[in-house]
Amino acid sequence: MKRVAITGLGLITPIGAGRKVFWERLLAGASGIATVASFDSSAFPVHLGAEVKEFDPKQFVRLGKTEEMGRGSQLAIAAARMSIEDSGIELSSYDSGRVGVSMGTTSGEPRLVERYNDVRKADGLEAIPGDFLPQYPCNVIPSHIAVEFGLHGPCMMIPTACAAGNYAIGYGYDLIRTGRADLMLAGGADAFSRITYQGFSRLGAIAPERCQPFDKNRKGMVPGEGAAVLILEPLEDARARGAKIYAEVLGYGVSCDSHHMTAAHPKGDGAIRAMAMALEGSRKTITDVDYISAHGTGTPTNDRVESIAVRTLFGDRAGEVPMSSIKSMLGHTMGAASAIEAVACSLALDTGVIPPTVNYETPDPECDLDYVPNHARTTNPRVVLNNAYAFGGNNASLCLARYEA
Amino acid sequence: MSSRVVVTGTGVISSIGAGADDFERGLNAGTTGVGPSQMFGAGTTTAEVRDFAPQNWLGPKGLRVLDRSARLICVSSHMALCEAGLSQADAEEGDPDLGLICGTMFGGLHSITSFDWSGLTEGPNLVNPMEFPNTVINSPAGHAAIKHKLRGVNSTICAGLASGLYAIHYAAEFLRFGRAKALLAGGVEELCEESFLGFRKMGAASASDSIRPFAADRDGSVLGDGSALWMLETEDAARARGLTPVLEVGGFGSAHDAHSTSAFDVRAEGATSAIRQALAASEIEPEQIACIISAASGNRAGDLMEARALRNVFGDLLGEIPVSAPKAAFGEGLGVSGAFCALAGGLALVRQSAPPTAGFKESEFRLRLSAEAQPFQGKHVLINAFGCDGNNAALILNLRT
Amino acid sequence: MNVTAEEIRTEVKRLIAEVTERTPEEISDRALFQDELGVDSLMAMEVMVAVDKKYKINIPEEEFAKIKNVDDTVAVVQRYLGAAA
Repeated sequence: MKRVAITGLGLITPIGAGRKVFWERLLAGASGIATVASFDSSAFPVHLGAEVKEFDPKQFVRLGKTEEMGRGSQLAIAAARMSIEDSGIELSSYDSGRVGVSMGTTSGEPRLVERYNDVRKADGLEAIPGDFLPQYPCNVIPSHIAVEFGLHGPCMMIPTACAAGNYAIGYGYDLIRTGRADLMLAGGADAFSRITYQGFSRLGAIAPERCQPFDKNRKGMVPGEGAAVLILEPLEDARARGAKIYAEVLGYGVSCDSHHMTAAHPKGDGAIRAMAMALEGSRKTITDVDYISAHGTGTPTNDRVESIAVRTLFGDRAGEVPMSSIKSMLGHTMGAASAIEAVACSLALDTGVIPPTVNYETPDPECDLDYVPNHARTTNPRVVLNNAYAFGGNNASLCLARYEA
Repeated sequence: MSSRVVVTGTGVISSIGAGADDFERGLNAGTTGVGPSQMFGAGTTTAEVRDFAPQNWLGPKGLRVLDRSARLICVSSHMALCEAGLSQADAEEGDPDLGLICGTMFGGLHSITSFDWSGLTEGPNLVNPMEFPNTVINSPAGHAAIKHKLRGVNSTICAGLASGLYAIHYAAEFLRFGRAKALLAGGVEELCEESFLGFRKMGAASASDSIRPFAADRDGSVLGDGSALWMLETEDAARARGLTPVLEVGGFGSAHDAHSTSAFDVRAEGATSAIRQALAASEIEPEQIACIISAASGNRAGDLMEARALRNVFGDLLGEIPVSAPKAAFGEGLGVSGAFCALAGGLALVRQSAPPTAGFKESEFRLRLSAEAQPFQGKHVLINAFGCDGNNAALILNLRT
Repeated sequence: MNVTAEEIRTEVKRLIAEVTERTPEEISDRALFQDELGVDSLMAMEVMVAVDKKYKINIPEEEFAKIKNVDDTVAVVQRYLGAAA
């Protein structure tokens, strides 16, 4: 088995695009949360959203036609282009059949469904355009990346909802370490959608004023959008070409609660098993973990259960391992979330600084860990876990490590 | 890593039959599931699962919140779990090493569309919250995990028309890595008014309401639906349970055309590469393939592309290798079609007979297709799954003796 | 809207029966939704939305969280119907 390096980071998020801007703003505690702008939210009881602002897809999509693809694909191509540029690779020097794409998403291209219904309401079903069906299924997102960059390798979407980014990076790692691919573009993408918003609003899960993960007074999550793509390659290749190595992927773990479609298992059963499996596959133990990037959505239940899961697995060590939620700044970018968080983990390993949980004011006795409140902290982590949980009871934890030459 | 992955159970529900026996009978009788639709009104044609009664397998309770795609995969997973002797029905907690890998393109397309529609027409506060979880693409897999207590990996794979084969390969890899003991793998796709209308609007539906794979006068496809799953385990695990498996999941290949996300690439480079990779991964030569299960579904460019890919790989051998295009029977199942074809390939290998291509009369290409079953002798069958989003996959199945 | 308590009771029982896959006769006035009937938060919300829709009222979520059985539900619906009148 080959060792797998992360050598490129590209992302577009509610707090900005590109590795550098993202990291500066994240450590400064910037917020990407504002009043929803992409649709009229007046009929909803809540109005906060974490949208990507001032996005010009034409800046990133050079081969494809932006008007012939959904926003999920546009965001994904933007992240992919930034990641390729960041890695310094020359794609033309690769056998394109051994360069693949593995992406995650929650809803794929939900705006195609919105348009379907808008057209149906205004002009009737016969007016539905011909590109609805071919451009809706979520496999078009990695396929658009493949077309844009001329990649002929394995190409798939793993739509495991809000844990999808970790699933996709995990599978990219599998393809590299087994030698099935020489280079993988792996990550996640999701477009802001009134459908997602309506769902979380109806569940009463959206925070009315602020996103406050792990705070006693937390009132919910904030739906968001974005994309992140990581370049994965064999560590040896990265070393040979003198590449910047942000981090090494050590392993990942996945599980299913098999309990409820929307509610987490009350004792965090699946979350615990996913973290344990990630550590086992990485040949690490709980004593090695220096930082946890929490799923930390800000809903009362998620944050409590995640804290219970970490407390259960880590035992007495739990309080010593800092765990923060960058969703406090970015909102919940759905299928992109764990990919964006994997970028944050890579940068934490590379720079030695861990990002904070902002808006943290009042400790909750049910969430009794170190959530890195409000200020970034220099801790020089060596091994980190990236947690992600999803509808359907899906859980995925990714284990990354600092690369030491 | 070198551990073999074998099939220890099958679950299938399709327009040509429910359960492996019915499916095999329908396939070998040369019948087609293409016919009048019960879903879309008089004069419409589909290859849908008709008279679908999930309660026959799942009992009357717990169906209310499941959409059609979830019901279909809950039924097929029930069948495969029972056949493999791995049902968790009597277990207090499910097995954490038992999981599900689901290939699909849409998940619950109708659920997400109708959830949005009710918000649009009644206001976002009066939508049914119970419908929201059905809008995510992994909801069929999530519902099946809850219903059948599957606590291991629960992944959904979307790779266009190649989704089913990608899912089977993904599951096989997970078993080889030791991340699970037993995995259901295959796919599900539901037919709904949105996919039915969209398929027609994109110009992919057959004007004559029939699927004529590789025929000179082919004019498009007819959508089907259903679910097909295998129970996969390592051979060691299966033998330890006292089973004698006969079907092994062999080499897999995949390649993207990087040409278009909505049109087949008739140069067939990706499809050719996918087949060659599958052969290489299986460490076999083209002449060892005894039967080919084709992805052809009457699409003008798609069938041409596949014929070219087969010619590229097999050359003159094509005169001897029986080819079957079973989508003429179960329709174009989109995300489940790869899994349907894999099941057809497995049944053909065990029976040593390529199933008939329903209604076959003539082929534009020199391929050994037939309206009758074609007996063969051999240990390897090739299954193709190619899509117009540019994704191509090929899988080889081996007969264990 | 002029609705009697009994009409509301019948409707609520019908809804609870539907989400819990029972018959309305099996739903007593005092049976606890969560502990005795297995109504989870998603089901409860489904019933809440259906009641809102049926009676054209808007029961806030914090109010609904306090409801434990059919009797409570009828009382809350009546209160909000009265407020709407």
